[in-house]
Amino acid sequence: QDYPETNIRFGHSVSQTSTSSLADDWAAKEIAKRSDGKVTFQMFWAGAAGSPAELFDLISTGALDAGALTPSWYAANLPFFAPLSSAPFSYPNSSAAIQIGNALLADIPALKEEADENKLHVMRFAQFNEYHMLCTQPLRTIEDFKGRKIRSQGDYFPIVLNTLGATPVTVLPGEFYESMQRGTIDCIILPYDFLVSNRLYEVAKYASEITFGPIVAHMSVMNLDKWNSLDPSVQKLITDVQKEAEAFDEEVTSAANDKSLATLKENGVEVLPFPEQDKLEEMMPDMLDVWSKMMADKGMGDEASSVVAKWKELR
Amino acid sequence: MLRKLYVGINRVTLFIGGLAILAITLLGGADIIVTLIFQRPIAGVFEATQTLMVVAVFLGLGMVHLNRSYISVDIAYDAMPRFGQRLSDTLTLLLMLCFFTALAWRGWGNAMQSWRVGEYTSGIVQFPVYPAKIALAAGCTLAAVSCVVDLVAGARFRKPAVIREE
Amino acid sequence: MSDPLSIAAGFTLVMLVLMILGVPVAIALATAGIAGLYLIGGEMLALGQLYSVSYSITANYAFAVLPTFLFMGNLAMASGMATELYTAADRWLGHLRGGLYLATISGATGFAAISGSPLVNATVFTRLSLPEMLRLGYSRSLSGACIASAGTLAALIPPSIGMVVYGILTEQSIGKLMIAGIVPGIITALGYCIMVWAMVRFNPKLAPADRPKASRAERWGALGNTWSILLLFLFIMTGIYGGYFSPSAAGAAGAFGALVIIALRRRLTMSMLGMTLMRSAETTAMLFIIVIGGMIYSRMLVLSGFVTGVVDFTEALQLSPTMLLIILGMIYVVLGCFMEGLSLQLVTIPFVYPIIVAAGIDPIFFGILVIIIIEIGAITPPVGLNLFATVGASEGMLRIEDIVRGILPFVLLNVAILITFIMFPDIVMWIPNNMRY
Ligand code: NA
Ligand code: NA
Repeated sequence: QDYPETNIRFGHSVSQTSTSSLADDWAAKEIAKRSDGKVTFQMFWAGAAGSPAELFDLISTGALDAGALTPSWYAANLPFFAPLSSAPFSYPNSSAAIQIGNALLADIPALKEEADENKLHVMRFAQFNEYHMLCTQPLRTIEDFKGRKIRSQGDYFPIVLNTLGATPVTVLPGEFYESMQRGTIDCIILPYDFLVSNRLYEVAKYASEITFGPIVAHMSVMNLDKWNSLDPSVQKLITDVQKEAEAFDEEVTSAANDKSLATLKENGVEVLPFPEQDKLEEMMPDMLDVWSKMMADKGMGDEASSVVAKWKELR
Repeated sequence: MLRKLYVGINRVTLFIGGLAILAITLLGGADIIVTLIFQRPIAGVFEATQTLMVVAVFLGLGMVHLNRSYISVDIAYDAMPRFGQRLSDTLTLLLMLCFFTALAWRGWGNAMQSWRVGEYTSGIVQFPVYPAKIALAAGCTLAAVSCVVDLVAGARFRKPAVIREE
Repeated sequence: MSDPLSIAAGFTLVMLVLMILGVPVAIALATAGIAGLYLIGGEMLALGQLYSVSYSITANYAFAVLPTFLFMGNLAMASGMATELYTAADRWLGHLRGGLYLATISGATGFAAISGSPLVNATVFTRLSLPEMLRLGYSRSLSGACIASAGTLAALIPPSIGMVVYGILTEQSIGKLMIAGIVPGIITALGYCIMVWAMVRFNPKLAPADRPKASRAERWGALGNTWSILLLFLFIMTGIYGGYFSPSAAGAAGAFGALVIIALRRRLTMSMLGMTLMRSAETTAMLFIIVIGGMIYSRMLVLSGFVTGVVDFTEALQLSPTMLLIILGMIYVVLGCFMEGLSLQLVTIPFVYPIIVAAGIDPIFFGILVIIIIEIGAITPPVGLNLFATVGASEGMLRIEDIVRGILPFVLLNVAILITFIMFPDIVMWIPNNMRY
């Protein structure tokens, strides 16, 4: 098939080698290949075209054509998408998170409206491995959380950590390593692959199988006007490849988890079991209800309840 | 009289910028002490610092303009005839006017949007974003107004000294 | 003209022409950046990037070190801490021929340990030592050059704003960078001392005849007076390396520490506080406007595709790491003549860094080289921030031409040191590679 020449500038917040980038990279190359180089995604990794804080504005105003947005970073603008990439304990596994995202976008009008209002066309939801934990001291029980300084991010982890009696601490991603090394924080909550990419095993030797569940890593979006301006054949090509990218994503994300777990062990990290996982989850409020309450305070309670109902049915 | 008011406003905003730096310092210091004693940092210092940074940077702009504290290369300029220098000054002021106007215009739009959607930084405490965005827009507006005043008054951009201090 | 090379080259030319015409560096960078972005992607791209860069660079916790370190340096100067340090250096070295040069260099080296900004350092020592040097008949051009060059040590000896910026751009450990800067900083300071001493020996006109040596009591007394600046230094170092605060909080901690020390010595007055704050705010705005301009220009280079092109081209050359460093060093030193250091870093690091990593060069080592190169850039005309700062702070005692005449030996010495480090990286990397926590 003959495609019209199309170039799409795509801004990514993380590096090309990060787990959640792999499928975006694959999709860009695959689209170029299938269109004989006519449809190109010009990829700008690691914030080169705009830092994470900037990407939403840049894409929504059309300054960038497309990019990877983690909706919870722009929760005020994307309140309905936000819990997808931030609510812990809300998905059974990483792949289910993608299915839930897709189903909500397809069935709940509020999400589609929110995307339209912000001039976004969602191409794909990206996978994220389950959150585990790495500490400088062994962590075996819920009791062990008391008084620990733990890196916190987003709206929900402060709730989780406060419930457990730990101290939430804000730390810049560039300072994870030093903060653990120097004891500014005792533990960090990240998927195994991020523990490895940040080389944190050099400074902390106790991982835990405790899980806070996965989230959605980001959504790959295109500016809506840009999307509408594309030739239907190009739109179809992108949609088809992004659908296939979901399968690719599932494969590489789960492989990264296994490989990273092995790397941690090779580097002398002890991976401790966490027998009190069920008790932990019982202690937690349902994060979807927390979200729903926040939304009700902002006058969006009705739509939020329908999201929660659908989400609970799916998980 | 008008000139006095104009200098006065810029001094006040510069002072507010200075207070923002003091606030960053005191918050940072308090955070270290509290963390040391209670093993628990003060929630919100991180978020407050980010807002105060915007205040510190953009409210100082007016005085930078007034004092001509910008850094520039003067070798060719100093060798130019009076007419050339006047042209260079006018070019500088026009470019600056465009820069600050564009930034102020986008700035007010974003500040209003931020206020409307109730934008906040997510974290241990939820901190409103609009004060920082208003500070940016206000600082750039003031700088743009300064450029207009200078252009209308036919003021020279440059004084003999390259940099006043620091 | 829409291919990346023409856009990038064309607007770099525009930027240089504007700068030479006397348009402020920040505005020249921003104008070239915005115009280029407009050509690449239209009005939305240009205005979108303009706003988004300006906001995100300033609403940034990691950059709070800049205003706070400026504040700390201004406090140290206004409260007399810097004078105490300089007096001590003078008592110990002032009796040697050209002793005030040495005192200035060692004083600036000590001050560099608590100041992160060469700009602040050069200003402080222009105020402190220049009047005394000129009064005693020291060479105008060598004095100015000495102060401007010694000031650059603030970037190499921790804490350092330049290193923080490099660390942020490359996601490298800022602590490790700072450790790695200590030895090169001391080597450079020693190099300056030896060179100036030799110059005075061969050309006695550069300095007046010897002064009487200060008494033992005077010397030790003056050294004793430096306790507050030493305490401040220890406080920052222990804080960072002991895990009491993160490197990005070091600026606030340092300024807070300075406030406490000055208050305890009963030297803190409202007018001093107000003055130092306003001066810090003005310099903060002035510096950030350059950073913003540099970032916009840098985004233009990135989005035009020029950056990817250069990376691919350099990678294709398949240079050995040493050759690569030498060629990059040459390019940088030339660029450094025309560009302000922070912008130079912001503009180039995002695309030079991947080449460096691909060539297997240690990013920390490269960071130190970049800092040295930026120091060289700060003292090379026509765009040399430290030259401007020294001339500006001298309030008419010095002209640009004066310093430019004296600066060449310092530039050459720095280049020689740079080449030595490239040939023998272990001089720089031994400590950071062997440090134990
Ligand atoms: Na320093
Ligand atoms: Na230079």
